[in-house]
Amino acid sequence: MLKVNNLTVEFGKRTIFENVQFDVNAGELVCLLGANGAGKSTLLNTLCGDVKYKGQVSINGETLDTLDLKTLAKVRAVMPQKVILNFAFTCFEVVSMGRRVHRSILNEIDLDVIQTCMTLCGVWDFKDRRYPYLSGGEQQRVQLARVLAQIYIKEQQLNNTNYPPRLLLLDECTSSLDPKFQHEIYRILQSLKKQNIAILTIVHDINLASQYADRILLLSNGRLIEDACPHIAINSKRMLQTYDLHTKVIHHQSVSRPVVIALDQV
Amino acid sequence: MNIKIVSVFLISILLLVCVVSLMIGAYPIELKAILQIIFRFNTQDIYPTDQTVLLQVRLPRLIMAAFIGSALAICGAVIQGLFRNPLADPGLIGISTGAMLFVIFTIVFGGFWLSKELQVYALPVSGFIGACLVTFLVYRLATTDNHTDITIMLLAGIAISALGGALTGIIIYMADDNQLRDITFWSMGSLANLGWGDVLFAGPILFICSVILYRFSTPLNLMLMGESVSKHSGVDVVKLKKQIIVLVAIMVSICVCLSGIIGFVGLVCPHIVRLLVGPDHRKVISLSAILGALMMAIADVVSRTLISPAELPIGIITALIGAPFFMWLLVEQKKRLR
Repeated sequence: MLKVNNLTVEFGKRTIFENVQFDVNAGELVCLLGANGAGKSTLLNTLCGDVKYKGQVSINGETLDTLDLKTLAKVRAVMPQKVILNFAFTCFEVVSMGRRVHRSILNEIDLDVIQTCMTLCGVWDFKDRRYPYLSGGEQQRVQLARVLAQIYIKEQQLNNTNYPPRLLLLDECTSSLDPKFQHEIYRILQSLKKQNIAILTIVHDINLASQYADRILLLSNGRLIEDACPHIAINSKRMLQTYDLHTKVIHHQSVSRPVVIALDQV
Repeated sequence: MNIKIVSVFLISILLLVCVVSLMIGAYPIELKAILQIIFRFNTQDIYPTDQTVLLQVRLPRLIMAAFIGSALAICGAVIQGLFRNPLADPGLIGISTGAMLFVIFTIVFGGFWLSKELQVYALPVSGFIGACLVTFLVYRLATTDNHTDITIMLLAGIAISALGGALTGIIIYMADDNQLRDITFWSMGSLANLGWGDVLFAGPILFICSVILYRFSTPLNLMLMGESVSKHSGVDVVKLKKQIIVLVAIMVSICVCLSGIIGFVGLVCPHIVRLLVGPDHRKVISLSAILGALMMAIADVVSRTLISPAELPIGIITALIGAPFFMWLLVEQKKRLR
């Protein structure tokens, strides 16, 4: 689905990252981890087409540069860390904007998709509330519903016709959510796998990544130092390399994935 | 509020104001006579003076007032959307200043090489050229590598406006008494002397530009969430910004040339509409058009009748109505946020 090959980005003389190479397949949830300033956001912005780069990025076999914005928007949705919207749209209006790339006047299917996505993200109940008056977490869920609506396909259709796999890029989509909704969102993301959607998300919470990711990418000093499943990627050596933080990785019987805890002092 | 109720309400007030506007003035015309002249029945009863005043003076002037009001309000709505700032105004990116500088230059120095007849046409044309030049300059200043920075554009607009104001000041300093009077009246705005020629010239252009702007409603809605969100949702942001700025420059410069600088219509109308029906541009643009026409029609009647038979510049009236109203809006908004 998404193929990244020899990707290098430089701002002036400063190299943000170089020779980054990885794939994200349809139906896979991949988490990108790294310290502040490691280049995570720049990497994501590059995949969004907002940054000049050297190397190859391709989506469904087509080079990123050659795809026009509209075609791209139908197969790739991006959720930024923060969306500032001061105009008093209702939540329903905000989510339906995600659907506009398909049709300028929404039809039955679009309305159905909007309702499904809003219900999935738990925001259908306040569809008529004004967006600027919501709390940060509620706004984030509305935005997630919007980007989902952009690439969502109803199950009936999914079976009938052959739809291309789609890509969802998320920049810390759970940063202002409470723990319950953090897990809720990641469960939603997992459930999107059967939608044939490839997901790449930036996460700061290592345990969240460990619990839900199919694969983990660790970015450190402009290099991709790990690309493996959580069991392999998450160990104290890698955590020290990535975050300069001493940790202990434990395996607890109640969760199937490794759990990381920071150590007091070393 | 429901958009249908609001639009029916606004349109009925607009029609009422139009009829009143045609009836009253320095020379009053009865309602019956107006209906007779417009719908062409009992034509033998019509006074020729009634007919001349109505058809040659008031009707074209009213139509122009409505067109200019709509255009200014639509431009205001679109620019506020594009700049993601509910306090933006076409004046902010220097369009009005550019037009004003060139028109005043023509008023003061035009006499040297233009004959009296040519000067009449020279004012609108020079205003148009000025508006386009300044908009282009501001746009160039804010654009690097195909990317237009809206913040820089606003700042450049302020800088260019200051520069234009200074140059205008120098020119005014050199003007004689008669020219000063012309400049003062022109800069306060006036709809006097507008005829069918202006309607036929400006009407279609303003109408077509408005329709095109309306068609940008959906991408403009997305633009309110920022440029990258719009881009990732399939909007060609670079192209959109160019198209909107060119269309707004055309519309505003036409308005400025015909009627001088008329403030507050573009700022206040979209604001009121948003309070009534929410920020969706499809609603904001269409209702702003109606409300702008209404506001200008009312301002026109007031300007003609307040010190009749003399006439107040319409810009004074829109500012007199618009500014206090705008302050009230700001106070209300502060209350809401609490």
